[in-house]
Amino acid sequence: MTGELLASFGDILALTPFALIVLGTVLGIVVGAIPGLNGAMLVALSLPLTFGWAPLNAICFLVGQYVGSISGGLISATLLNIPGSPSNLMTTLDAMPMARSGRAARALQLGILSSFVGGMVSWMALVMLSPPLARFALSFGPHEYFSLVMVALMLIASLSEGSQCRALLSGVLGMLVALPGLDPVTAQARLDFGFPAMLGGFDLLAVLVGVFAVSQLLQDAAPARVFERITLHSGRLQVGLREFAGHWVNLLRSAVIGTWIGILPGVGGSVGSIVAYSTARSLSKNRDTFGKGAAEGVIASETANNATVGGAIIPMITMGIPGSIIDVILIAALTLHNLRPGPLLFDTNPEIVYGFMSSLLVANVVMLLVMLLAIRWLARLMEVPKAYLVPALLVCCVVGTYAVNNRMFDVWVMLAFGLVGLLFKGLRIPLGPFVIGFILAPIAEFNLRAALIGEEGRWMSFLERPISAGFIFVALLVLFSPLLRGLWSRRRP
Amino acid sequence: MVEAKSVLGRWIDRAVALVLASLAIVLWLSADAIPPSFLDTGFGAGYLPKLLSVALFVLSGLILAGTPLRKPRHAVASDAGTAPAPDGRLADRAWAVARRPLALAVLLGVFVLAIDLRLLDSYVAAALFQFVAGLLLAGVSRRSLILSACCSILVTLAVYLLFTRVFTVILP
Repeated sequence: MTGELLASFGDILALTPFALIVLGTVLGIVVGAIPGLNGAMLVALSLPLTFGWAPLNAICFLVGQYVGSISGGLISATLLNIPGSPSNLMTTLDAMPMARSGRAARALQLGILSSFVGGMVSWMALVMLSPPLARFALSFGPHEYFSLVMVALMLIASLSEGSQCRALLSGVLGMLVALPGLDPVTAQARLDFGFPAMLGGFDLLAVLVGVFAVSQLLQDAAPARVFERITLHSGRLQVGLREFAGHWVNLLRSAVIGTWIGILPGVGGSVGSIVAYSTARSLSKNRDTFGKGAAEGVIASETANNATVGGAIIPMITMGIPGSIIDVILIAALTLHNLRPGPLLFDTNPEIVYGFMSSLLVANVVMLLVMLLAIRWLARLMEVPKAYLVPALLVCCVVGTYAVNNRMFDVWVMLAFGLVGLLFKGLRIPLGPFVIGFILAPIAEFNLRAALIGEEGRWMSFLERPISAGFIFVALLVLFSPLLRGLWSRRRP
Repeated sequence: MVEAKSVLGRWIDRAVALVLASLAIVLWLSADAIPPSFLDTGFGAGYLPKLLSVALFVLSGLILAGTPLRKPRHAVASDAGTAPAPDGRLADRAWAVARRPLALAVLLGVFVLAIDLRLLDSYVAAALFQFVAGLLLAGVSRRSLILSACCSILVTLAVYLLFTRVFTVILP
């Protein structure tokens, strides 16, 4: 493995892939820093561009964007009190008070260094955990895969913001959208409602661009509140390395929390940073300072949200289960290049697996250097007028979606799903379960039917296999956990 | 503490539950109408659609039974404190927020329709869309007119050069 990883670094550090990592990371930071724009939108929007590229180049570009967008949100969280992405929400609690008291540069530098540490720890987890997990996943049959998909759907439903009912609804609707077209087992046409264009189903890219990019851009058109803005006067380093290293317990703990939460399907940086921040506060000797500009708060939040990136890639490359919403788009990128994420990827295309690993590391280093060196210029990004940016990005959505299949039908699908995304946001239905349901439905259906055909329709066969039974037990536990929690709290005096 | 759920919110929940239940029925009937293929083994193309229609029906029932789909924005009002905002004012506020996104969505629809029906070349339509959308979002002023015009021309040029020259895509 070490040899392949080193060879992969050699590939990544060639001119084109390295330039794409730098470009992707810078774009990610820029988008992350502009409130209202987010990483999922950027990655979805960039997907059509990567269609004709070598798969490794596409991965470098998209992974760079992923890392950059999670990190860039720190800037607006600190200077505007608006989290650039949901994963920077907890950062605002302490970074903004620090900035208000004239320590904006210090808050930003703490966040940048913590983001780097989080990224590195999760990279180590990715390198160490992925190969054994992939070997384990090789023993999976249709029963295990179907049960695993159920666990993923239940987890995302239970851990999404808002009610579990809404998240489940979102997941079911996402699976529903994946049904039209040719049945994956018998190639029977279904639910096409007489439209020949529907025989191919809804294009993955059109759905993703619609749900993430178009809906977000339309939402950004709403009149914005006026926020307090803090100007960054100095970009000089104000955090001593010895002082920063003194936070090693908080750094390590938050990175581990972020990585493990990242591994859970569909749960991104926002949950990671909330859990890490809450843990840091409850274990801190200075818990009264949290929310008033505590360095520990900024460190916990930023370390954890960047650590979710590496964690989320683990289930994606080892089992084909997306660890976060951006991973859904990365799966789409692999699918566009005729690659199927899962345990076999280690045998069939090891350069892709190790490409993910090495590009994640390089993107983290690039993020650190770019953000430390260019923080003063990056802080100006918040002045970009959205009135001209939003229409330009919408044109990119239309042209990019059309370009993949040269079909106007895909553009209409994108537009329709943009409105669906907007409607979901209005009704407070989370979008994460929707796209994860959409991407996992074909896997669930294929494996469910293969299992039932092989066992002559015996549903009990799912409980007769230990791994599958274990997954089903976990899925049921997660599904009924709110009910169990309620019963438990009622029984306690 | 008094749970004060707005009438508007309750009606939205009911409407959503009704739409979901109707969708579940349509889905079941459509799945039932799928002819069995020659490979059919009892778990045909309609199997998952039927399972999902059952799930949708159950979820619509849960929403009707009171699991709110939409958290009321002013759900909790203190006994001594503020009363919930009247629904009329809430609707006005929602309309004020939603007006511009909806206008932009309509404009985007017109832009796509103009390309689809070949009423305009796509690059002309893209430039016009950006110009009008820029004015819609920034408001009409001399500065916004100049900026919108410049941005629309430059971005259209850049996007079209990138896609047609670099990625060799033939655009409508």
